[in-house]
Amino acid sequence: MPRQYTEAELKAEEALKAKIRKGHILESPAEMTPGYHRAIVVQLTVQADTELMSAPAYWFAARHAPSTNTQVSAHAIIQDELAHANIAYRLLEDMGVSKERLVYGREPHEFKHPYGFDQPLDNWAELVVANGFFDRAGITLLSDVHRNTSYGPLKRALVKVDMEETFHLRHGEVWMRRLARAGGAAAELLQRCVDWMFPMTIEWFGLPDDLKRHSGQLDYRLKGLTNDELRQVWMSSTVPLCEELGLSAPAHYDEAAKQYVLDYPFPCQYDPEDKRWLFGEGEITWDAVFERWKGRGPMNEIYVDSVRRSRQSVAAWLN
Amino acid sequence: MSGGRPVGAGRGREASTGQGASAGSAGTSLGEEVYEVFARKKRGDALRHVGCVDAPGSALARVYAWKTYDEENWFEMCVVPRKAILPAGPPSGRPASG
Ligand SMILES: [Fe+2]
Ligand SMILES: [Fe+2]
Repeated sequence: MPRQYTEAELKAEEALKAKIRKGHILESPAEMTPGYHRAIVVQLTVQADTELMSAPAYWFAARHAPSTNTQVSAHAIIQDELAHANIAYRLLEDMGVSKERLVYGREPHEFKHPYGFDQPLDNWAELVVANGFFDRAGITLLSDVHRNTSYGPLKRALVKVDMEETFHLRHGEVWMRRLARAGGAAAELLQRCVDWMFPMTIEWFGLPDDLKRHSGQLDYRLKGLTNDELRQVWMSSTVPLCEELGLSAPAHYDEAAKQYVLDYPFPCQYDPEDKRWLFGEGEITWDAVFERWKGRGPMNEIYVDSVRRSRQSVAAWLN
Repeated sequence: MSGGRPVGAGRGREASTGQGASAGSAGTSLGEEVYEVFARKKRGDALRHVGCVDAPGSALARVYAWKTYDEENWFEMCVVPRKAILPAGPPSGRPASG
């Protein structure tokens, strides 16, 4: 836990927040207060780790690509994700956080990516639904950061990321549509993907606003929308997509409440071996969710190892 | 350059603020240093800062930059070692916003 602030330090934090509220943009780490620095390091670490761990998840799944064309598009997405990770770690390096330590010096369970990227993607349908759902979550979160962030270098870096995430999302949607139209086994498999990946993405957005402890990310304008608002944005495009494709998603638009509501107990427990949410067991606490996240999912160590297995031997040759 | 102030101009000041604990050593165990990447989208456009890469020398910096920042069909791209960029202002040598 951070130590208590002195009065002068508190004043500096408040002064920076006030400047930011008026639209101030920071251009270098030297301009950050300790509170701002801490908040943006947390945000960027999650962002970088998520991009990095999406790469092996998609890479293992790309083996299921059904043609040379789709091999190219799947690997183009993986290449984008690695570049996104690289760019986020590079920004962290400028803030005095060692990329070396973050990528090569942590235990697999210490990475900060969402639980969804600890899961195996076992067929082509799961990869394209990951593009349609997970990449949509990525663009929902990052386009909000892009529009609102008070850190200039991050805002500029996200121009590329947003452009490419839009392509990933389109890839997912186009292929989901093809599989849905095919009907039969393809549509059944697609529905099976929606069944586990829809609630997985919903959980990704984190604690509901009424339980969220104060993070500073909104005060320092590192993002613009709250977790619940972001979840609504994601559902507002995902639920209509599922409806259009004849897929049943466990959420609907509530006319009276003017928002999307979930049709299952949230949060609830997940069985990773079976890739199934245990709706029948009812709502669980967020502490139980955090415990599951902390324990990491079945592919965590395999994915982390796959992006760094030869580092030590090559570094030894060179040094 | 679009940022108003030189890219990475804050670097040298980090040590004095007590932030950026390891920022002094730009390199990693693979002997990399930071290169700023600039690109021009088409003839007549400004050369614009698009990001940065770590690389162990200029040959790989050019490759990494071209492969990393592939979101456009750039007309032109170049890399500059960050340490070669010298702040020329404001005269105090400190960010206006301090
Ligand atoms: Fe990405
Ligand atoms: Fe993506």
